[in-house]
Amino acid sequence: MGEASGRFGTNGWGRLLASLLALVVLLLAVPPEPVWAQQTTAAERESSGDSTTIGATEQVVLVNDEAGEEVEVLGRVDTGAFYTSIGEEVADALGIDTENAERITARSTLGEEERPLVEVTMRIAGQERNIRATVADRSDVADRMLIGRQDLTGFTVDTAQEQLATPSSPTREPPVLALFDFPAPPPNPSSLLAALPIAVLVAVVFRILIGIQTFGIFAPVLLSLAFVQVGLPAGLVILGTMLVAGLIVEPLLRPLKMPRVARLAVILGLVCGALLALGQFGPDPSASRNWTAAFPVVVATIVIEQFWGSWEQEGFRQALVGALWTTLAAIAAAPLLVSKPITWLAEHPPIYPFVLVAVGVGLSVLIGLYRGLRLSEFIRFRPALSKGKS
Amino acid sequence: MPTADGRALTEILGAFVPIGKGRDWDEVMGMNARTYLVNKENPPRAIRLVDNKQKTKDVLEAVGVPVPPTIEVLRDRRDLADLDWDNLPDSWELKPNMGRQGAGLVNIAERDDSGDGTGWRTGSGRPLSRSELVAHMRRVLDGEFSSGEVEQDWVLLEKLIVPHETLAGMVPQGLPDLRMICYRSEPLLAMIRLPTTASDGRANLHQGALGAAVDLGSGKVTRALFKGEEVSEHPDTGQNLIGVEVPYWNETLDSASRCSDATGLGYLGVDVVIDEDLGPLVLEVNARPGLQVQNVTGVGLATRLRGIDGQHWSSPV
Repeated sequence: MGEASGRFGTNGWGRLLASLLALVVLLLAVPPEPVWAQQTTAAERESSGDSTTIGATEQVVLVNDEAGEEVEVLGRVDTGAFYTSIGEEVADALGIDTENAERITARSTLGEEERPLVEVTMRIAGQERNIRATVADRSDVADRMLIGRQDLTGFTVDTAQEQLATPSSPTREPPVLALFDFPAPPPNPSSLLAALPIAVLVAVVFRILIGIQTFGIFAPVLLSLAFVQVGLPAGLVILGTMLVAGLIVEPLLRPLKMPRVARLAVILGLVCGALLALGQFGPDPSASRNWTAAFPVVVATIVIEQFWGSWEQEGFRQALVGALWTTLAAIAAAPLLVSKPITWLAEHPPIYPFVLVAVGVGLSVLIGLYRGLRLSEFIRFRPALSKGKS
Repeated sequence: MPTADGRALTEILGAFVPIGKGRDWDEVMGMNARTYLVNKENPPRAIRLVDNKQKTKDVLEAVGVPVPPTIEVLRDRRDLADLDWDNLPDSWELKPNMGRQGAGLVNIAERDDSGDGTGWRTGSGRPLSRSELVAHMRRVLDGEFSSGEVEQDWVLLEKLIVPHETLAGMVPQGLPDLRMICYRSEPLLAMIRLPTTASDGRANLHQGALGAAVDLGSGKVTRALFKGEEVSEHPDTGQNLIGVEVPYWNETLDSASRCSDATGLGYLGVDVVIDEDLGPLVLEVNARPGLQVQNVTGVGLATRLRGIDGQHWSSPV
């Protein structure tokens, strides 16, 4: 063994340099703003002259202060209208007495109409505004609330986006439950960053304490991120479809004896094509427009590649078991990523996100130092006990 | 604060589930402890060395450890084109130099005189033409059977091992081999792996080979395990195994104990075959030896390590 071959890997300095390099690359991949800079409240942004950007639709909470009633509705931005308009059933749910309310004449494409004008409090994008809204029969229209020009001052509307500011809405569903809904509100990137070291723990516990082999440690964590992004049912459907697609394509690609990189690129390409087709001809066209849909695809590609590798080396059964455990670990990690205490810590800078990271790293070190038997080894090594001491 | 060696877990668990006594479990080494030992004792350079069969043979030979004699090393296609087929012995073994788990191995038992007379026959009697062998060797050179992401490999041609009659008589087919687990120059546990019909002639426990514990002091088989059950006879041949003495036992122990210094590995598995003519030969050295040997011998590796090193092997860094 010459010195030259030991230049990388064996040399401690070389390894340190490599990990530092990797860290720099990681940091570059992270949004340049520090975590807490992204967390400025909408009020602060307004006072500093910045406007909050909202999407074409936005989750809105309406409050009737007199009756103490709250209703959450999906509001659609309508810059063609001056007044905000809410449906009759929304007004009913808020306990608003529309009979005795002030009335105005509204002009619409349908002609003139008398409509009640009511006062409510609107919570949108982390802000609270007292607004006046007209009440109309919106039962035959999809949107139960249209947000008019009058109540959009200070907002920039990005019509290409949906529900941009929704995560800061104060009364959204409990996130763990929301995960099983479709689609779940995607947590914001910086709070995800803080929660990742916790999610990774699931893979660590599976491997070191239980003795279950997942496909590496990153596959389950990335998969759990994907589940959080699109919701569990949709995530499982995407993953399952792609695994099946991978199984079909595998025998076609195998005879080509291509290197791993090329194989991965081919699957990714095929999958993107399938997704595009789904977007154009499938029931939900927004699926392919949304970048968040691309992320689970990339993750599923990685899982497929791991699956193939395992299949080649350890056989089909082992590969299937590995895929199953990886999915289960991801399902276990996903609720952690969006659980109340963890999202709360992650969203309260400057100190708490670091607490979360420290806890994750600390527990990883603790578990990593455990050198005893894994749970599964109590079964595996039973025959070794029969003689005991000798 | 629970101790890092997991005594806490075994004891807590033992209180609820009938897993055996906590103390007994302490003698068994698990994957976590093995990973720690490998990281602590085996430098990456040594691990890379033993992945390379030819280089390993070179360093072992240098300290007087017998290894299978090399007939030819083909480093590229030019070497392959220049190979003098007529001067090869009648039987030989083809190995990918960086091969993983027996992938790409071919053993040639004799020349095949039928046809144009340039063909060969494998140990199982399958005829292989020269051009088929060349095609296979090209695939080996392209790294198809090699571990990791190597793009190139060497073809090793070695003397075909003929198992010593004592061991050959125990098995229906295949080559039995000894696995010695060593901590530095100290052998800790030994077992002999006997191919079965179920393992398709391979000496791999996970593929259904039989494992038999060998007592370090006497070289005698003390216990045998087949598919997780204790047996006293080979399931295919019916041969009694218990009490059989491994031939050349002292030489085998001596060879195994020299492998650590030669390779730089501190915790290693040494695979030894006993050749009819040449005696014990070290086939290869493993930097991450499996833990199954504990099941076969019924002895935990932790016990042996404590006894030898004196130190508590699983104490935190």
